[in-house]
Amino acid sequence: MSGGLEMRRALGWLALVGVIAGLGAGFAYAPREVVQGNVQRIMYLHVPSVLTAYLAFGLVLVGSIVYLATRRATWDRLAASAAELGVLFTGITIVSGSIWGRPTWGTWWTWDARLTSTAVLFIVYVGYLLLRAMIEDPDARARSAAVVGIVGAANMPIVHFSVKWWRALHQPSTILGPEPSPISPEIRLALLVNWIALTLVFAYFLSRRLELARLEAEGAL
Amino acid sequence: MPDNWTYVFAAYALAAAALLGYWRYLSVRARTLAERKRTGRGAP
Repeated sequence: MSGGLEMRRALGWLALVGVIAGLGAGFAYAPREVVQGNVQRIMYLHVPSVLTAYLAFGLVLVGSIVYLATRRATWDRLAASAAELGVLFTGITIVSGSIWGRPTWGTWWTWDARLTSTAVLFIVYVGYLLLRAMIEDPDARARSAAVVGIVGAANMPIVHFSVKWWRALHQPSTILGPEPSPISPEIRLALLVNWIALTLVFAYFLSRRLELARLEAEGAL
Repeated sequence: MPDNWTYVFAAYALAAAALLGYWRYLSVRARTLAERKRTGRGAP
C-alpha cells in the first residue's frame, strides 16, 4: 500500500473521529442556549461549514494565482478540487441557515445582505464549475477558470463583512469579528471542535479529489 | 422559545446526506478510473 493512500486513510479516520467529537461537543457538552433553546445547536454545523467554505475558496484563489504565474497544472487541479468542495460547504451553510432561520426569524429565506451575498458566492462558484465543464482545451479551461477563481474571491470579504456594512437581519460575526466574542466558553469550545472536525473532513475530501484529478489528467494524456 | 428539535435534526441529516453523497461520488469515480486503467481504456 502506498504512503499516500495510507495517509489519506488515516486522515479519513481522523476526520470521522473529529465529526463524532464535534457531535458530542455540540449535543452533549454545549449547554442549551437561553434565548433560542436547542435549535441554536444548528450553529455548530452552520458556522464551521461557512468557515470551511472560506478556506476552500481561499485555496481556489491561491491555486488560480499560482497557476497563472507558473502554468503548472497541479495548481489548476488544486483550484478546481477546492472549488467543488467550497460549493458543497456553501450549500450546507445555506441550507442549515435556512432551516435555522425558519423557527428563529419566522422565514426560510430573506434578501438580507449576508444571505444574498452568500447566495451570490454559491452561484459564482457553481458558474466556475460549469465553465470548467464547458471548455475542452485544458490550457484554455485552466486560464479562464483561474480568472473566475480570482474575481470570485472578491465576494468573500463582502459576505463576511456584510453584517457590519449593511443593516442586516443576520446576527453579527460570532467569531472572527473585531470585538471580543459574545458567546460563552462552552459554546466557543464546541464551535472550535466542530470547526476542526469539518476542516479535517475538508482535508480528507480534498486529498481524495486531488488524487482523482491527477489520475484523470494522466488518463487523458 | 420551544426547542424545535425537528429543525435541528433536519439540518444535521441534510448535511450528513450531502457529505456522504460526496464521499460516495468520489468512491464511484475512483472505482471507475481504476476499472478503466485495469481494462486499458483511456478517458472517454
